[in-house]
Amino acid sequence: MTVIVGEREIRLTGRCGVDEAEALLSALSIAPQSRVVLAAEHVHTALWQVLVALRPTVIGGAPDRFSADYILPLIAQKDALP
Amino acid sequence: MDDLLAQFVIEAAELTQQAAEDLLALDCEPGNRARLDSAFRAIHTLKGSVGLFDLAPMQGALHSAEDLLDLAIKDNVELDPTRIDPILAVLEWIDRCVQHLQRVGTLPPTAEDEGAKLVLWLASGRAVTPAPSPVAGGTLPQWAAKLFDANPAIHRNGAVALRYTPAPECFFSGDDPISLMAGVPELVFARISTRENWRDPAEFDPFRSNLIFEAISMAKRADIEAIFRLIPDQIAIAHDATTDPSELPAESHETTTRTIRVDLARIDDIVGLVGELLTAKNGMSALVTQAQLLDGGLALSRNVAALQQDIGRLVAQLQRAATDVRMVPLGDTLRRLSRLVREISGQTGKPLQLVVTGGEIEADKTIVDGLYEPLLHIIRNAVDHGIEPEEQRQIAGKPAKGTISVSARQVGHRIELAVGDDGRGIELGHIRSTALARGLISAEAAAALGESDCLELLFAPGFSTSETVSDLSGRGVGMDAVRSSVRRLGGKVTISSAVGTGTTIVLSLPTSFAMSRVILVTVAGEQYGVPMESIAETVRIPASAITQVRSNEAFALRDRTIPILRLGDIVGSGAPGRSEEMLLVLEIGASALGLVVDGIGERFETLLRPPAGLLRAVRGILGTTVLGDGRIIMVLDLEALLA
Repeated sequence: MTVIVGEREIRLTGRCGVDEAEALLSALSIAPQSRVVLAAEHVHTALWQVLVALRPTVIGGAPDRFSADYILPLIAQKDALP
Repeated sequence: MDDLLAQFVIEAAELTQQAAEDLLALDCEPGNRARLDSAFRAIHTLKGSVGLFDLAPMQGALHSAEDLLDLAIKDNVELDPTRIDPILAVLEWIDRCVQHLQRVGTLPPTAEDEGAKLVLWLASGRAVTPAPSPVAGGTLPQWAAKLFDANPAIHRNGAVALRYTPAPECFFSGDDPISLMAGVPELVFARISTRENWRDPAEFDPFRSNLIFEAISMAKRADIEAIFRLIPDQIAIAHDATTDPSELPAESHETTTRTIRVDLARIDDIVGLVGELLTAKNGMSALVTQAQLLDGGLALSRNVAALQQDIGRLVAQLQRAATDVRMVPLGDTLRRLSRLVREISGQTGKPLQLVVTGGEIEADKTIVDGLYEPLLHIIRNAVDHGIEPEEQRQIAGKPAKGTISVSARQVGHRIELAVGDDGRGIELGHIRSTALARGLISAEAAAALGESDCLELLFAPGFSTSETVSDLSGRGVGMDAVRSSVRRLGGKVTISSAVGTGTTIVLSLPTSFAMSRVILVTVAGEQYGVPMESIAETVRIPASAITQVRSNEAFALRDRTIPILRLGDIVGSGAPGRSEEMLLVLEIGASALGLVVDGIGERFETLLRPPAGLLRAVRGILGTTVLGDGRIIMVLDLEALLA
């Protein structure tokens, strides 16, 4: 498991593959207030999508430049997507 | 991209290149006839290929360019230098269209307009303003223009815009769009939007991709294209060509480097080296034995053997890779048949249709190329002797159009190519009487012939059932020529026929010359290789079991009488019979034959080299191979020797 669901936070670790998207989605649906801690070396687009769609509070570092520069701001963005 | 289009993309690049070179040469040396002819040929060929697709604007412009060149050739005058520029502009534009075609599958939306302007320019000798507007064919698509407009700070010159719209189901194909985007070099801007609004978490499907990426990169276009090469349908890439004309030729070069044309000889060199590597590896077997004989050498021999196995595996992989390079689809040859059939239909006045299936199956280039000739003879024969004239077909209740079907299928490591016609079929009685008339067989032999043996006669040299020598098949090439050219490719030909409904000829061919299994035989102290595939079995029989039938010998094997030949007699070093004889039982066509040899040696796999130099002229030699100890062995073509 690379998506570790804790009491108040959900940790993404290791290489988060596409099959973990469902786990992340259900964890966030059950506890929308959970923080998501990014500690993964790779996060699949499917998981990023869940984060972009549900916009939880995300802390920790993105695994690559592109997601740091363009995806994290999208998740943090409080108004709707263009 | 479909095969034909892929071929066309490669061909078009070569032809435009050729024509452009010729035109530039003409510019310096207007009287050079050869260059003029060459440019005409290139453009003419290109126009022909364009005609295979629905590319009217390209066709129109090429047609006008061809006309200009044709006029100069016919009137035997120099090409008006003012016309060179517009023709060059056409070529450049064609290049761009082809690239667009390759990437997106369609012509640029502006193609029609640009094509028309070029035609006008060709006709008038004056560029339609704005100047060579087609060069501005790189006008940016709307999305890219917007992207650049949103980032005025980014210098358009050299910047590449991309729009990546991952398919909703792309996760299932293993795509990870953000990863791909993260791999785009020199990204200076990106924005992400969605296909549709995000749904409620309860309805949200995490396995559907909903993102759209737009970005600007300063990297080379080809580098970006390389990242998305597997999903050309989901990516659009654009750069502002007007501001950067110098980039154009480089770009056209880079998009075509994904395939390169290599002289076949170079590939064959590699295949040859692999063969030698194989031989070197076989040589290690001797080392294993040597090591075993050493005191305490068992471990060493085991290690050498293990190493030999490893090397063997790698050589096999290398060999597969090398032979793969030579694999081309059968379609390359089969496509040429439709023109042939049209031609024959015109010559004979018999309406024909050709049905081809299995063109995607691949085989070694030599085999695919070598197939054309036998197929040509078979089809000519089929039309000449098989397909009835239209009125006869109507009487027989057949469709007026005769059908020739060519269908290929893969059977293990071989391909089977069946060429069928729906003609009158072959009358066995007719074959018998013809063979008799030609003195090929005796009357009692003719009467005793079974169906398959009878059809076999068609392959006998000098057999032709046509009473009148026709324009088509009566050129002295009979089915024997077909069989021998197929055999040269390592293949076999069989024929079946039903009177009234048609004839089918099946060619069974290897897909590559890859490996042949060869067995060593000894005759009069000499060693020869014999391909295992022609050997049905080996038997040892007492000399007393061989009976004399007139001047020939035969023996009985499981209630079947099998004629015997002595390999020693064939290779010219006959030896006295022994009390016990070793025989290879060969299946050739429908008949069997026993071949007496002195001894049988090891079996091994080898890459057969086709005979070269002096050996090429010697009948009955399939090729040569090098043994583990470096000796060169001739591999016999038994079927040719016994024919």
